[in-house]
Parts: sequence; structure tokens; C-alpha cells
Amino acid sequence: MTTHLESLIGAYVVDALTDEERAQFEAHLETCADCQAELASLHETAALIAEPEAMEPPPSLRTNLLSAINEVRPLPPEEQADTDADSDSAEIAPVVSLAQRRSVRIFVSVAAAAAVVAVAAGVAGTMGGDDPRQTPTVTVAEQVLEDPQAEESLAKFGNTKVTVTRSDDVGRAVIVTTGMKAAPAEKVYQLWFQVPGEGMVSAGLMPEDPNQPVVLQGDATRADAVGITLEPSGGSEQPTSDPLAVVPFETDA
Amino acid sequence: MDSVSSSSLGASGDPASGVDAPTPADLLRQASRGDQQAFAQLYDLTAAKAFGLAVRVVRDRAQAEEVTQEAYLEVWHKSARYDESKGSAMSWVMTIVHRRAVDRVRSAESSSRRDTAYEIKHQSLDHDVTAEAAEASIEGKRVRKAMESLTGPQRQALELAYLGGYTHTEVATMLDLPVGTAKTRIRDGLIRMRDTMGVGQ
Repeated sequence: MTTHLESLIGAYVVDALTDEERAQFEAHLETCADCQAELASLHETAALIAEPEAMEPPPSLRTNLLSAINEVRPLPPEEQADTDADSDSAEIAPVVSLAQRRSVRIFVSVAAAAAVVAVAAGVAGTMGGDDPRQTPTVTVAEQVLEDPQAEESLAKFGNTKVTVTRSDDVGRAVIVTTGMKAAPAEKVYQLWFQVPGEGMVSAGLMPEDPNQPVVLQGDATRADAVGITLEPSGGSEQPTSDPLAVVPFETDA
Repeated sequence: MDSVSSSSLGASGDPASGVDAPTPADLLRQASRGDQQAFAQLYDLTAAKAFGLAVRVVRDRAQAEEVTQEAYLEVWHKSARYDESKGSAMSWVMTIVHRRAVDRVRSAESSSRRDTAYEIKHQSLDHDVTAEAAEASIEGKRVRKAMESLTGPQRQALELAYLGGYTHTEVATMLDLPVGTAKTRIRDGLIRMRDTMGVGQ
């Protein structure tokens, strides 16, 4: 698709984009000062369109809501990961973005006949019983991140930075993102290993608050790249959209 | 002098001259620290617009109530993520409500909603005549006027998208337009409306 992304701004503001288009536009937005400048006033305007529709909700709604919030803890403020320090100064290599259609196409086309891997939330947590020889207090994420031999690959899309660390000793990879927005409602970020000869293999889902270390599920040593896609809640067996980012490993598996 | 005392806004008994009547943004900030009272006030200030929008988009009161409740739970949950530099708290809340409402109609695509797709007329629903409602309707009139200042095609595209919950591609199909044209009309309509209403920035 070769739409001029900035022309989508109106449709974006009124939620008239598909999820894929929205993700693409949001990635564009991170880097487009014009769109950023325009956005707030258009959101204000859209909110006004509903003005003549105003209608008092039933009192029961208020009662239910105020009792429901007892069970929901407000999120902490977003970490100020990337404000001024890194806006465009730090060059990060290799940067692979959506724009690089080539790798994207490979990513998608290999997706034909991959093994189906059980999908479950791949949170950084302790993968305890996995390997009895390891002391249980060290999480898999820590093992990987602290392995001096581990290989680090970086990518960036919009303001989101992605670091994938792979440890051959541990056989696992860990993804760390900064500045990544929570997935849209009823969507989830899904991680994939691109495995030669097998295609795309699910490596689990990102947690709701994505900016924390996540251990990719499955054997990392055979993969030659990691991808992130936006999928319907619960994840998919195969990617259903173009990846937001592809992070290639530098050394061959 | 003033002495408006006739129970204008519910709760908190602040005088009309109140120096520190909290804005929605203030309330949101307090809510993010777990202040349920502030959240309730925020709800009282914004719920009529939010609910009206949800009803309009999902076209079903019961579902609109669910959507509104879910949206406000999200507002509570994400209150700390509101960034004042990116717009008013009111529009932030409305954005969340709208997104939820649109998700709801799109996931219930099979329903009869599409049958009545073209009907952009809305039932005149009478709401309580409170001071706030009166105020809202003055603003509402301005908004209607501004909508009328759009070209017919702009208004049609904008209403189908925002109030109808259709994607720009669907709007294009419905209006027999090339895809690029619908999204342009939506954008141009919004910009024109913004300029007519004198929305800041």
C-alpha cells in the first residue's frame, strides 16, 4: 500500500481506519511534525461533533461505574523513556522500519507453513521449571540479558525502540521496547520468530503494558529474525498483518 | 450580584464564583492518583456527551450503556497517561468513548445496523432540561451551524465516519467515491469545521 500517510489524518481522528492503517498512521505520526501539530485541534473538533447528541445517561450507569473502579488500579504514568535525549540524535543501527518493504515481504511470504505453536502470554516472569539446573531466583530474562556472549539487535519504528537480545547458551531471546504504545482495544502485539524452513513461528504475546522485558517463547537459536505484528486479542496462528517491525539477527542461526 | 445558589451543579457545593472549580484535566490528574471522588466529578461533567455519542454510534441504549461504562473504566485505568499538551481532557475522554463505540459496532457487524446504514437522521431524544443541558444545546447549536457550513459531500462523509462508525473505505463505497476521495473529504470537513468553530491551535 502506498498511501500518503498524512492524508489519513482525518480518518484517523474519527476512527475511520482499519487497525492496520491505524498502526501505520501512528508509526508515521511519531515522525511527522506536521501531523502532530494538526492532531490536537482535529481531535478537539471531532469531539464537538457529538455535542448536539448529548444525552443524560441513566443514574444506574454512574452507580455501576463507581463501584467497578474499585476493582481497577490506575496505571502509573508512562516512563519518560524518550523525550529529548534520543529524539533524532542517537543513530541506531540496523534500523528496520515498515518502509523497508523488502524484508517485510520476506517476512510475510515465508509465513506459509509454519508449525503451530501454542500461544500464551509470554511475560517476563519466571519460567521456573524450565531448566532445573538454573537457580530458580534468576529469571530467564535475566539470564539472557546478562549473558556476555548474547547478541543484541536493534530496530526502531516511530518513537518505539526495540531491542532483542539472544543468548545462544540459554537458547532464548528477550525483547525490550521503549516508547511502545499499548495495543488498541481488542488487539494485541504478537511476537514471531522467523525460522528458516519453517516460516513464522509465534513467540507469544506482548503484555498489555508492552514496555517491559519479555521472553520470547520457543527456541531462539534457529531464528534469523524477530517480528512484531498487531493481531486480534488472543493472538493468531499466523501473522494477519504486515509487521510493525522486523528485527534481524546479525549472526546466522 | 450573583447568588445563583439554586443547586446548579451536583455535589461539592462550590460557589459559582469558585476560584478553584476543577477543570476536567485537574480531575483526571486527581483520578490518576486514585481519587474516586474526582473521577465521579469528571464523569458528571462529561457523561452526557459521552453517552450521547455512544448512543448515536451503536444505536442501542443498552449497548451504549455498556460501551460508556467500559470507556470510563478505561479513562480511570489510563488516567495517568493523559497528556495535557496533546489536547483537552474532554476530547481525550471522547476519543476513548468513540473508539470503544466504533469497536463495538464493527465487531457486531452481522447485526441489522448495516441495513439502516443510510439513515443519518436521528430520533429527537429529549433530555432533561438542566442548566447544563441548556448550555450544551447552545454549544450544540453552534456545532450544528458549523456542520451546515460544510459542503454537503464533506458533511456526509464526516457523519458517516464519525457518527456512523464506518471506515473511510466503507464510506467511499457507500458514497460511490474513489477511496482517496472519502478520506480527503473527511479531513477537509474536519478542518473546515475546526476553522468555523474557532478551535484553538
